Amino acid sequence: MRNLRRRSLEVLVRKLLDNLGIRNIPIPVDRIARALGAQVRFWPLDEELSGLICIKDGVPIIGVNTLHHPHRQRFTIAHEVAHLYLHREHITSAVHVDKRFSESVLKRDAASATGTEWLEIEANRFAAALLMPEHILVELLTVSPIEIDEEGPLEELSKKFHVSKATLQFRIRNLLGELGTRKRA
Amino acid sequence: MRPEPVYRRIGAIIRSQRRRLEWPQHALAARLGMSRATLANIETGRQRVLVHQIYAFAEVLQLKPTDLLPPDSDGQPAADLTKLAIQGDVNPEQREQIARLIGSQSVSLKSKKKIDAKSAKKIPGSSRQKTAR
Repeated sequence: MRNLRRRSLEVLVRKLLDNLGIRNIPIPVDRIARALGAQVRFWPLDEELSGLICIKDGVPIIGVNTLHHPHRQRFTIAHEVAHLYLHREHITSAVHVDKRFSESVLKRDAASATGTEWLEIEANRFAAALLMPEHILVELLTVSPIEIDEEGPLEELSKKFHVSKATLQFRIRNLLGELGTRKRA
Repeated sequence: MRPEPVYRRIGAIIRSQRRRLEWPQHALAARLGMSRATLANIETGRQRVLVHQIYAFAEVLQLKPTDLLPPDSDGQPAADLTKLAIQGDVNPEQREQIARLIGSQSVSLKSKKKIDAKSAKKIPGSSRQKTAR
């Protein structure tokens, strides 16, 4: 059930990338946001706030906290893109504020999530899939396999995607886990 | 408005914009004819920025001078600030920041172009090299 959900997210991401003709990394997340009709605004915000999204005069506005690391800003944009792409009916003129997407939220068991938490979990998964598309990641790992705990190669790879090492590691673990489950099934 | 938070907030805006443009401190300092240490102190609010410097910062950082000035939080909240509907818990300062972002225009348009050019080039170091001159 969870895997199915993850799988459909991967499919949706692939469709979005193909439609926009995006084949290379780093994935231009702000270009994707604009292709979906959104304005991206960069602004220094309180440390606790990652980003936000709302509709103003019919135009989706995505806000990003510039005080965060650029990698984190990219994840924030991807997360807001997910809300726009997957949860359009939930986005209104009321500003939807996203606070820190901590590892604990990322790792939390989806089964225990409430309705709104589920939206955030889904947005995080979509964001990870968008920043590190499965087909590109798998291809790179096939050409040059790495040990997931090897710092050097992992860092090298994370630089190519313009994401943090931890985010990449988490993504690879999830993909490996899922592929393993599918093979066994 | 108390002096210390004002300079800290102006400094934070300068720093965030500088980082977004991927300028190292020494490069921005050189453009403005100040030492790196002075810029570092301004960014943390330890040194008070002068009025003519606000204009210089704004020009170099591609902002309007007013973008560098935090709104007067001691005064009455702006009308549209109280009207703004926000989902989720935010404190008054966060609310003010969000209202500013939603109400802003200039920064967003410029930043879009900048980030675009950066991602199109795909060579992270190159833009930094150029702007450092």
